[in-house]
Amino acid sequence: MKHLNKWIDQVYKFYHRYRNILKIIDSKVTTKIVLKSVLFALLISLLIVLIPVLISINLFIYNKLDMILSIILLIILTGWGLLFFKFYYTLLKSYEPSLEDVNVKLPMLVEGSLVSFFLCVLGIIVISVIF
Amino acid sequence: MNKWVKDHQKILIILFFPYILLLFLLLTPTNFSLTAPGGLTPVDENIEIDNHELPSNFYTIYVMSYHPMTPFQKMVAEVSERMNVSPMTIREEDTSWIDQYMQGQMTKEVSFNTSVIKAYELAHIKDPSITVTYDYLGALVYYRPSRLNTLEIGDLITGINGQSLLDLSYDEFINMFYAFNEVQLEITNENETKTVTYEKQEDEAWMLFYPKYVIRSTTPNIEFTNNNPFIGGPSGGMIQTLSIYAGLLNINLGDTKIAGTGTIEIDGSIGRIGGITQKLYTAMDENADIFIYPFGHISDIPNLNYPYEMVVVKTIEEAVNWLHETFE
Repeated sequence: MKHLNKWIDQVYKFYHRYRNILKIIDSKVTTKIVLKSVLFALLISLLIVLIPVLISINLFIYNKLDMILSIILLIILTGWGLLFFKFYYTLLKSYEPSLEDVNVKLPMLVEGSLVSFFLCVLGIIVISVIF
Repeated sequence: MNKWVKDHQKILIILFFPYILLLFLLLTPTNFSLTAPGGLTPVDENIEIDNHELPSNFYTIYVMSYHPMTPFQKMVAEVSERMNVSPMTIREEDTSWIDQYMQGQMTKEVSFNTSVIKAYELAHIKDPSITVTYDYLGALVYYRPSRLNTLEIGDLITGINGQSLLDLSYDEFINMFYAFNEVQLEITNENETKTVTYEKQEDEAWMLFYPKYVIRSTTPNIEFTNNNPFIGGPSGGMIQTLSIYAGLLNINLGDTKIAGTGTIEIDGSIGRIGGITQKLYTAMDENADIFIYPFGHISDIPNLNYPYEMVVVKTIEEAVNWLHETFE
């Protein structure tokens, strides 16, 4: 019980730290900057994953590699979530120099992990339906 | 962002050209099609017969077919002797991916119906309580030039030049169709009837059809249970017929793994299929004990060290006789 309380307390503190950082970021950036960062982060992350994704899709001509290639695609999809948020926060800092001192690692990891987890579950569902 | 781009300008310019080249290799369609080894599908997983168990010995063989393939796929495939790269036919060039999918699903259904009819008819000779009744409804469109946008893959042709297909045999319809340069086709789909005029043009491939049979009743009842949408085509017809036949007569096949390929026609003949070499390799990879193939492919079989027994058949009656002689 004591451990559970300690753990809940840690989660609560972590959530508040995350909320506070988000509030600081929100107070410093404009919608235009967010939009620009999202679009460029999408573009850069997609350009990075595009080639490995296309190579994997092209290699589906080998029937025996179907499962391995599907897992590789799942890993790329999951990695893309993290990559997108990495570029999003890097660009946000680049467009808004006042964010230079803000530690964006926490929201980057939290949001990246959530999106990656969602994409991973989605990918697993698709793979299970196919195989 | 701009600062970062300016700082890395040189490396970005250097990377740009290989990136575009890779995109070209991975995305551009070529005029080539590819056939690659695939896998085996157990027949008993897809069919259920009341009070009868289908033997788990029979496997249909599927191969991977791609067209158009990309330059990257062509480079990779040409290295392997197991894959066949060939220029696309006029029909392949004129067939979209959706049409190709519809052709595969349509021929799979036709093949299943013909398999049931033939297997029940042959089993009826041994056991008169096994019966099947069916009707011929007309001809299904398998391929039509894409310019005929009023005609879809799978449309049912019920009349030609004002004559009902019910008054003609399927062969008579085919002879009549190819005899004229312009024909009026009557199409019936779900109580809707339309007429399409087809004028043959020299530079395009001819239309292709499959006969449509509808099964009215079977004793015992049979059902197609697991319709995998990723696998299509008629090449499993012969092996499906054998499996249903063996299931109806409860023939004991031990634990022999029988893989085979070949279409089944209503007259019992076993037709040619695509990708025979890739099917031979697939059967090797999947450790089949016996490989049954159509007589029409006898000259196409490469000289390899096959780890299985090869059985060649012209008709389903021959295949059934082989089954009795080998396992009874």
